[in-house]
Amino acid sequence: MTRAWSLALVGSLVAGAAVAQTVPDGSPALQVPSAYRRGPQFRIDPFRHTAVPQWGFVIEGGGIAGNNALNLSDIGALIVLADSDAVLTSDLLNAVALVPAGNAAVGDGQAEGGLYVGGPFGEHVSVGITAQGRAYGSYVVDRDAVAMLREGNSVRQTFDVGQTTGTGLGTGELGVHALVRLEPIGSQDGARLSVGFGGRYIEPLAYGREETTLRDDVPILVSGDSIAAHVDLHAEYTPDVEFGRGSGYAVDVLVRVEWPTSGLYLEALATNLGKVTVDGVERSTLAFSVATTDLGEVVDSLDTADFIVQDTTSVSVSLPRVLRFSAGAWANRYLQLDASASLPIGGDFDVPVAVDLWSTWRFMPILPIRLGLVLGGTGGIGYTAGLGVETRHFYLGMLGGSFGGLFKDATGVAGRFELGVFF
Amino acid sequence: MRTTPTCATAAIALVLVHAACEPSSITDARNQLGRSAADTVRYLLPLARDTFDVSDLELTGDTVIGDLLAVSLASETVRFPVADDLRIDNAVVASLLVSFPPEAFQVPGGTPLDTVVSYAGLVDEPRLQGIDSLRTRSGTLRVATSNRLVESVAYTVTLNGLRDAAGVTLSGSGVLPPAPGDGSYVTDVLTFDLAGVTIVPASADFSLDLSMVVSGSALNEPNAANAVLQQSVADFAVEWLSGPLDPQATPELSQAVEGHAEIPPSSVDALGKFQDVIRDVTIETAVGALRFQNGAAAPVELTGFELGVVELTPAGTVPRDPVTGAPIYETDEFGNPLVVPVPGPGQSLVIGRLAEATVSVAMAPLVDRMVHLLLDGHRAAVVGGGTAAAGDGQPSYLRWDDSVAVEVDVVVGLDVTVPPAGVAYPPQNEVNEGLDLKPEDVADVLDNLLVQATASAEVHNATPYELEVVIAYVEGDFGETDVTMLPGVVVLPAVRVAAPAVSADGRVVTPVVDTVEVAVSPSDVEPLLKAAYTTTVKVRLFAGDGANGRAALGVDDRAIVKATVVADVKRGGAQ
Repeated sequence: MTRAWSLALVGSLVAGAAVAQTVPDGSPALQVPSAYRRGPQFRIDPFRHTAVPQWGFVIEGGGIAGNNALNLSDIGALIVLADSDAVLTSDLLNAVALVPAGNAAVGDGQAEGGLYVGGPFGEHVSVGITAQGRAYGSYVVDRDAVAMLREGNSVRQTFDVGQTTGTGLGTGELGVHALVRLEPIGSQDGARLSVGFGGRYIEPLAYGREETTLRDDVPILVSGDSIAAHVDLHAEYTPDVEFGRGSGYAVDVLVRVEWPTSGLYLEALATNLGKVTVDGVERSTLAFSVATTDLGEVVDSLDTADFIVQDTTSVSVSLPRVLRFSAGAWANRYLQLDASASLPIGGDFDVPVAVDLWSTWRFMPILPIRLGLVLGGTGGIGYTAGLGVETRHFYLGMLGGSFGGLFKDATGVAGRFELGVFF
Repeated sequence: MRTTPTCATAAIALVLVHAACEPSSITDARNQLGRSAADTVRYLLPLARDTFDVSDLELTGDTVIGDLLAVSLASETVRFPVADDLRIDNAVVASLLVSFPPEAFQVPGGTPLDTVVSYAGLVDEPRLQGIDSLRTRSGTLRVATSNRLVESVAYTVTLNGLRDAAGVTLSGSGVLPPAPGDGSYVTDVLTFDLAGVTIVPASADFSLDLSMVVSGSALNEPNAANAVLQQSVADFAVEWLSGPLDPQATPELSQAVEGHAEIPPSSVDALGKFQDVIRDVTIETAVGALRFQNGAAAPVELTGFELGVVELTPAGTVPRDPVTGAPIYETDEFGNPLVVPVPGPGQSLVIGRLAEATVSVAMAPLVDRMVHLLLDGHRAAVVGGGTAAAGDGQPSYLRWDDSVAVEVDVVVGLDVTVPPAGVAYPPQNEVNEGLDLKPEDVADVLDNLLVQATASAEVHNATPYELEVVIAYVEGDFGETDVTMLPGVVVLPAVRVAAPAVSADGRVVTPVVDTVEVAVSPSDVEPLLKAAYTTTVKVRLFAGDGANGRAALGVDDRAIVKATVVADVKRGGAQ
């Protein structure tokens, strides 16, 4: 089987030049330059520019972040109150009340920015080099811990802290990705299979993680007459941001099948399959233990509790691995529809399942307008929009998203800017 | 530097967000955060939790009587000398009559006449029959020798069997004056000091040596018979005696004994905080563990022995009846002396030679009176008395300073009868740290957050009493001061919890839990929001109906008082 694939790959490198011309001129796919046939994406997509079959240079930056409680106005309100030193108990209780009932408080975000240089080697192979900075972050405050404040302690008096964690990682990365476009399968206008693979060398710049655990699995007791909590907070962090504190590698794999005649594609992407070893991580623990009938003693205990550095060590961090399935269709020359589902497949970051739906309108082929929806994620239903300039030599992409509501009511945002020049 | 695009993008986004979404005023900001639907959340804030537990009574020496909690008071020892007054008075010494044949005087005048007569001196004294030997502490032996001859008679008495401290046999000499010759006697008396004299009754072989010069008078012939008469009597106090001592033979071995020991006021310290409760109740269960230690090498039988309690005079002496000299015991409500027969009514107690005997007797009324005397600041003493008889007919040894010591361990069971008015348990204080909110937060909570508040008190009553619980709290740290009367205090309505069902002997059958809730105003909640507040919990005990006011505190009996402020706090619903 391996040999058959190898033969097919070699064959495609030699004979591929004539293949594109076999697609009927009226087919929907050909109404769109092949450089931009891949769907728009806020999310990490290491093959995004490698898929462009021209040599070029792209500068890009983007990110997506969301939470399930506070919208932008809420955050602005907290900033105003904090700046005025006017945060009251009622404000905090109201803020906690914004966490959906029965849910944990969750949030996550990813951002990247960098440069891309690459282009095709022949008709079938494209290679791209990226130099990027990335940041990943997520937090989960277990629903039990939220409920302690949100729901009061009249109904229940014992609370867990569950998986209350927060993790952040900043990296500098250098990656090489290649995309191989194979021969049409079956007939000349049959499906076209593209296979991408690549790797990234990663240097961690900063890392931090905090995790809360219950000692001996004894839940927190907050009753009307006593409070008992034996909680350990474990923290791991690098004291500053710098290069040279470790390394790691990640692998990205893409498989794409496109039916140009029909104007359809299916795609599977696995990205961030790797780990990073972060050196010089200080591990510290804060042990909070109180059993009292006196609420004030809890406050005193919190005041006196402090992290104690246990040691400095190396930590292996799994990147947020994602498996993304995408599908798209060119209904006609004006409209392209894309859908993708991003599924977390492990890692040290809590990334939720998200479904992105996009529609790209090309009333003017070089000025696509994009509208879409985001389902899932931490921010709720999102509304997305974008504009682009897509020509043979120039590419500009701008995307924006508002989750959980529009604009100031958004509990999450996304944005992306891409500027490229092709030759 | 490769992170620059990321940072720049994020920064731009934040600036845009901040600019677009920042409320224009603090009020707008608050309204923004309160955008969720109006709702109320209930928080339970601890106010006080007191367990009126056995451990809270700070009892020392706590023990049990059965499953009844009890307190062992400090033990006291009373000594009863059993031979300090042992003396034999009017000891009968055998009489001696010396007769001469008439012809002894039918000799020429000037003829010397000597004779020696011996006799068993103590054979006629039955009280000495069971005594092999004894030593006297003091006493005298008066030997009266009489003569009815017309001549003077020199005589020497030798008391074989009686030796002084130096081991020398007692002896004495005297001269009998001449008698008128009419048959009457003239008498000479020798008095022997018996201090430190050892007497061996069986060896008491007295001798009388007479020496005279015959005058030739015919008056002597009719008086020749019973010419000399010797009679003696002895009185002595015993230092020690040995032999097959038998009180039947020697009634002096039976003595009335009495002793007392003052109970120090610190004895009731063992009751801890329960002292205050005891003042107003009647102790229903108390056990005296009496350990008799016989220091004599003779068995001692105690008969008619009783223990009582007296209130000592200011001088610390036992009050006595001016006529009989008997101790004036404390009396019950009917005027009967509060005495306890030991080991029981009509029973005697025999304590072997150099041995111990332990007796346990119920003595609740006596102990109740004793404890109350002490709690009321009086001096009290335990007085014991009866008859101690030493010896059982078997070889024994008894010294004048031998005694029986009685160690009295009083165990007071916390089994009491509560008066109808109840008794107040010592108040318990808790100083709690409040939420220590800033003044603006306090105002925020009271003005904006607090919808309503109730104070809830739950009493878990596992004591045999009916309980009335009063909870009061006030802002500030007042230590152990009862805060119920302080200005600004919040006093919650009293909670009255019924007594659990009790058995006939006052033991709890099933605990009772009762809860009461009362609405409190926001200002009543305010102390909890400040830096500290002091709570006083007062419990008053009332007897239940199950055992005629009697209640016994078991080892596991306790009352748990939990006080909670229930605050309904609103959230969301901003305009």
